[in-house]
Amino acid sequence: MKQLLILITLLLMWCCAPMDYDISKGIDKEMTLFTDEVSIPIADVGPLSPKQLLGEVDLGSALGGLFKEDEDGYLVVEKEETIYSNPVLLLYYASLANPLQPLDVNIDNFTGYPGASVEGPAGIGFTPALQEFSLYAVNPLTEGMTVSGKVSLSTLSSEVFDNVPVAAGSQSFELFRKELVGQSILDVCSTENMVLHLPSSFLEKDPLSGLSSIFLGYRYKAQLALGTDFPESIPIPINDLDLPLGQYKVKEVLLSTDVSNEIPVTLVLDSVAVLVKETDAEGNVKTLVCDDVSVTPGLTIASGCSGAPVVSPLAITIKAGEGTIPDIAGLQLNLSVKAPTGSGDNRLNMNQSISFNNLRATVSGGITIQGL
Amino acid sequence: MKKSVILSLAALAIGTGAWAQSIANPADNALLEGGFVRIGEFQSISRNNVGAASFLFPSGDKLVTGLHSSISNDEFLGGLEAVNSLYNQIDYNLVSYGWKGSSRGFHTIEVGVRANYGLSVPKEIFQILKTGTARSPYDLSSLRAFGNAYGEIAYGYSLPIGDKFSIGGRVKLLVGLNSVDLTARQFALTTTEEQYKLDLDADMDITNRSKKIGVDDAGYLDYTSFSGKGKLGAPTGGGLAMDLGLVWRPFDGFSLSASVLDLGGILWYYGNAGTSSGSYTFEGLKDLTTEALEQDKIMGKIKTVGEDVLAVVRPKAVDGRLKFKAIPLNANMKASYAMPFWKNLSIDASGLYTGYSFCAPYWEARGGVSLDFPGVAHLGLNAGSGACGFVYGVCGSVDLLSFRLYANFGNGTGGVIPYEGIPLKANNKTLLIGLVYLLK
Repeated sequence: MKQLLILITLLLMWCCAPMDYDISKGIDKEMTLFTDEVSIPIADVGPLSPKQLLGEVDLGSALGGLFKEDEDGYLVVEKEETIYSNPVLLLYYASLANPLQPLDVNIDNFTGYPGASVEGPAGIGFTPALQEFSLYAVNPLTEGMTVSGKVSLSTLSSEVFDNVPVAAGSQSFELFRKELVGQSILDVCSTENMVLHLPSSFLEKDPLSGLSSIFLGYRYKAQLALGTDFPESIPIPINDLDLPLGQYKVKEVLLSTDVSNEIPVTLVLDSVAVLVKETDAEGNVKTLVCDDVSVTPGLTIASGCSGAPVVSPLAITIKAGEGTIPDIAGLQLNLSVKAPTGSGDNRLNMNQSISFNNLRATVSGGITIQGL
Repeated sequence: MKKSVILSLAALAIGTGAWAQSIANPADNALLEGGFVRIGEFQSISRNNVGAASFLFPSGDKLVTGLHSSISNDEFLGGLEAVNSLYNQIDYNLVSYGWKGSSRGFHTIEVGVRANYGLSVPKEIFQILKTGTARSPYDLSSLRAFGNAYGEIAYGYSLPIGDKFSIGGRVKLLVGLNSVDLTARQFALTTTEEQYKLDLDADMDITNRSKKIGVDDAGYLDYTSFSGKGKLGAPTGGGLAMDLGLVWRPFDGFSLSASVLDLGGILWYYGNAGTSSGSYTFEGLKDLTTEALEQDKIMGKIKTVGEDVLAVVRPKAVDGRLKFKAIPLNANMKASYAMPFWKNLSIDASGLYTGYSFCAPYWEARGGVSLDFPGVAHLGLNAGSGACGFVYGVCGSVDLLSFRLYANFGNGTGGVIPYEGIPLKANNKTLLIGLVYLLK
């Protein structure tokens, strides 16, 4: 009878309390959340400009003095050369032979090479988008003077001017100015038959000006754009990422964003290799390319220009082949930087910006965590 | 003959023990000749429309949660209800006294306390966690938590009308002790690739019987500071309720009993009242310019997002407010037929409906048999089905001298977690035990 009661009791316990639900054996707290997919808005990043990214770094130093940033932020190369410079006092001595007559000063013919300053940047794939050339004079006298002569810019342009007045006290009177848009490098400039027409007795009227100089020179500035021969592919290694993604057992991540670009540069992300760390049998840790994880290749960010950004939708899929995305030690990016494709203003400006709007992530296949 | 019929019916009523319960049909007392003193009666009710097996799954020699990768979406979500509720109720009848009046009526006075608490969680919350955000928008407004404790002082009167009818009623003065109620009029979550949008309009009400929750400088309830001293005994609500009952005995051996119990409610004064209201849209971190792309600044922006969400979610203190809350309403019906060949054996059929102001209603229907040996013992067995699935019950009483010990146990099937007693399936579990002294 006693055995029967025990048997019945055990039977009832078995019926009422299934032992496979015995929580005293522990509960596996591993959870895989969002098994279909979860989309997460992440951020609006930007606008980011080269100037902001470089921060306090001096561009000239950073780029070996090849070019610099002008006051408006454009990447430029500049050159300034003296064509003629002579102290007023010396000129006065020359006028003593005939002190009551105006003095004509003949200037030697001059040849300059403004485009030489562009050769450095051109050598690494930049091209002048806008070239500005100006011929200017400095007149420290209290009376006006005039200038005559001829200026030539290679075979592109030339101008003859006759008795162009330069006002008294002018510090930088522009005798000639030329802008060249989208043309080849201005390699040579020259002046011929340049004559300064000075008034009579100029030093007696202002003896102090004798310490100054009458000056003639040129200024050249080229604002740069990216050339078609810019080195295409730039390998960008990111070695210290160390993203511990393996524990989350993620199979696929889609990163999407709308890139708004006003930098006149076309960016193509040719390939992204995921680097992982492996330890060999001898305990040595090596960084290898993970073949099991693929990243969408061939993503293009179209070029824009100042004030007219171009929006490129971008979607990057990071997908594990057989397993899940492992711990990522680093990335090996191959980025192609190409000349702009648009017909607009292609000048590179340090204030041009790129924005990554509506950056969001969609994770498919779940995210595994070890308990909440 | 008339007296013998009444006596046999009274014996039937006493024998089933129904009259002895403070929650029974008040008309059941109408035929009692003597009085009674009840010294304590305890009842607990536990109702859950989902069980632990909806959340825990055996896997090998361990248990895993429904969120484990080995559990499919259908396997987990298919076992959940639209609103998953857990409800518990404890009733304690301190003392009752019943006596036969000078006329034909029967009077009762009862004093007791009751408490109930519960939680409702919408399926959508588990759906988001399990599958993700693709099925937006989500209505989470059925998320609710509540708890109430109140005292009850009741006067009952029942009266036989002829040979075939009895009617009865109780009037109850309800004294609110403490109440907590978190309820949402609107709790909507919309998730797209571009944004997460939260719309919330919810109340959090806590009575301040003892202490008042502080308010911070921004006007939010501050759960870390309290003011005031304990004021034990001061009610925080008051109300009325009534029980109405009818027993019909159209012929010998058959009775039909119907009652509506706890029709009424309490007007609570919630001295700690807060309202969470507003909308928040998250479209990612904004303005991540070069200056902001530093870890501490990004963390600062994330913190700001958290604060913005909290500004919507945290209850803002409002003036104390009065709210009327109905207490759980029970509607019962029972038919009983004593076998002509053996009056001690009867067959029963019963139905129960419980309506709550704070969670889904409960209903059930049962059939059963009873064995009555008046003055000695009673044993009843029943089974049926209801909102929580299959239910069965055992009730019984034993008379010894002038004392009667009675108990009622009801439960569902599906088993429990070993050593824990947590039901694995949807379940309605009731336990009632009481002791009554019969006055001659």
